[in-house]
Amino acid sequence: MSALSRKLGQLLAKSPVSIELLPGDGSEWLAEDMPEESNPHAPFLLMEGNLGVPRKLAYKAYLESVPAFRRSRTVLHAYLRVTPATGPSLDLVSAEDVADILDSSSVLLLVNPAHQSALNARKGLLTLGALDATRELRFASSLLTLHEGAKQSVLWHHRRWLLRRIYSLVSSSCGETPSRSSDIPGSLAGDGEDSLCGLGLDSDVLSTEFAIVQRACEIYPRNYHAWAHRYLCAEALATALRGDTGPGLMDAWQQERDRIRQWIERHVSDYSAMQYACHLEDLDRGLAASGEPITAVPAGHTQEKIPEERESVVEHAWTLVQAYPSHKSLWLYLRGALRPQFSPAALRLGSATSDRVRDGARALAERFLSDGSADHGGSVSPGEHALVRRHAARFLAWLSWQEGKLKLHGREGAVREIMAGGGEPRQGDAPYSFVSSV
Amino acid sequence: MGLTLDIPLHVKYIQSLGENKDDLVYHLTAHLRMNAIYWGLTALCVMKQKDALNRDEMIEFVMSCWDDEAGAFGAHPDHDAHLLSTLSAIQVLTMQDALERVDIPRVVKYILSLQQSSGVFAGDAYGEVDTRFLCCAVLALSLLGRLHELDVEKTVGYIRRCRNFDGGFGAREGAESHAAQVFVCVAALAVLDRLDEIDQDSLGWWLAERQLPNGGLNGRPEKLEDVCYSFWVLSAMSILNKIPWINAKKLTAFILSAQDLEHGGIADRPGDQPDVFHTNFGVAGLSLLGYPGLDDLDPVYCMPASLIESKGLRKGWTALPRRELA
Repeated sequence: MSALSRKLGQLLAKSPVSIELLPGDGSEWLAEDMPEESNPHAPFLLMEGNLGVPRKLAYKAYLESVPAFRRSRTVLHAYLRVTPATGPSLDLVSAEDVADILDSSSVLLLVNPAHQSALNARKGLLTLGALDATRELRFASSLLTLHEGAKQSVLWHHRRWLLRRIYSLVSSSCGETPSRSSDIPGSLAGDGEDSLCGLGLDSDVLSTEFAIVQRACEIYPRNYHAWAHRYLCAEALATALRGDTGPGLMDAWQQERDRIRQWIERHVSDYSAMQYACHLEDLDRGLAASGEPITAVPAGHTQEKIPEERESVVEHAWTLVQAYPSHKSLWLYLRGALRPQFSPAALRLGSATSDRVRDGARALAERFLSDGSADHGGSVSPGEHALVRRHAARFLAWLSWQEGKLKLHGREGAVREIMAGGGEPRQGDAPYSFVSSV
Repeated sequence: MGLTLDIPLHVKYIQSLGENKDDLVYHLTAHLRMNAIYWGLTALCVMKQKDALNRDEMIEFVMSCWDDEAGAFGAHPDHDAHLLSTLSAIQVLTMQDALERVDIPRVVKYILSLQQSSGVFAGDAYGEVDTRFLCCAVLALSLLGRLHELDVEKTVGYIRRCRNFDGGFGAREGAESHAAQVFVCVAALAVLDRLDEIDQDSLGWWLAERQLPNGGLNGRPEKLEDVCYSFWVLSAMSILNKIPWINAKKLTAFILSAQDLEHGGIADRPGDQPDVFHTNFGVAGLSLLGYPGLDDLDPVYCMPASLIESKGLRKGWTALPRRELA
């Protein structure tokens, strides 16, 4: 392996707090006459655990690591083939070979976090007992701070694979979540299933996962696989709560419910967060329905009057739509929150609130459409009126369709018109005529 | 605007892709090479220029990616076997009429071994699950003539659980609705003759909402338009017989505007760098939209329609009628 790649590999092995690819070749901050002591990591930059790698050097190291990794992988496969059935033998793998595999694969992953074979090689080392899973979890966290790394499904899976190795399976079934179909068996987590359920993860571990997801979503907005991972963590937490209602897990659950609300309020165009909040509410309702004390009914109260520590997603969405009606995602959040939930308990609990909000939203949307200049207490700036009307019209059409008042079949033109939003209505036109069609 | 599809230019673009093997980009995309070959070949087939790439070289490359230990294909020599590359390999060999090169029993064994107890498929032995891999398994088994070995109820049961409250489908249960994930779920259900599992109006609505004022389609709410969604969304709509729910004219114009008319190829959106992925899905989208001069494409397999039909695998989808060349 080249000296450059080796040095880079060793820096990556420190699992930096963050990694960033920097423009150019690093010459801007590396004065030629700088003594070695002032930057022992040159040509790379390591400041308080934050690693900076000039792109040109990263690419050079990558090209050097391709043949190095190819050789390492062959060596690794030879080791894997002769691993005794009784389990891995540390004596088997030479320290040199381990270093080669780790350094070359880490350089490849730095530049190309989607390089699945590089990640697999590291898993191979783990199965041989030549790499520590907790350490590797930190390395995965480092890669997830890269802009390109944060979005890679293989890295999120890597975390789950590592967590499954670190924490033992304490139960074999994923608790009953409000599923999309009643004929789903309770047991999800068969051997090899990619989930976190039944691992006995404590609140600290889960909080760490939530924090890493949140950071990844800051680095890469709308991060699909980060949100998917977050749901798996929430599902694992909900499952754990069925068996153990100790304060640690309950606190973690409530914190997550609060955290997502706060995130949404700071990211009003983040539909990924909003649909996650709806899924989370489903999980929460499932817990309530199964009799968990989280939303315990105090003596003397009926089901309808459960004192809620926080507003439901319906109310949350409704508050936000009224405050920021020009944001399409918020109207979708409202639609999501208004959809009938799957558990009968949820339907009983939520229907009064949902009806009130649905009527309020319908009235608001109609007001937006009937008077183009209405700005409802300053929530709509002059340039946004057309946009708000478009959202209002789409919402009303959706509502009509949900209520069975709008037929779509044989009316492809109407569908296209609904989706096109109609733009500014011409003078004298009934605005968005399909809205009143029955 | 009056733009047309510059077929000769895009063919030259695809031909040029394998040329610079010393390029950084070539190495950075090695982990996708098998897929890239499938995208390139499919685009050529749709543009009726299949012979623009050498058949024998292509077949030999595909076979060089065979992982004999796993019994499946990797994306590149010295890359691990995976369902994604295995499907692409099968698709390429099918289009090149060279399926006899495949050890079918071994590949089928590999594919079936990846199904989990929940019905979803892992992508490889390390276990990442995703409805994409479920679709790869279903399409691959179908092309190999071994679909009857699949536990259909179990497979369909998992897709059902991935249906979200907004009508769309995600990568797994609880995951956000995403047009590409919608496609893989819908395509798999089409192959399994289980489109009845879908609330077609809800899904149609969600898909129709992908169209933006500029005519392009996005993959999720409030995301940017992207040419590849011209395929993921459009093919799902074609399978649901709902292409008229979107504005075809505007979408056609959008795809054409994303061409790189200097160097060839199609990009994700106008002004960006083209790549073979978007070139394929742009052309595929145009085919489904009835663009003149193109060959018919089967939206379920994203392969030439005539080929899929000859294998007896055609399902009840509808594309827009092919317009006449001017």
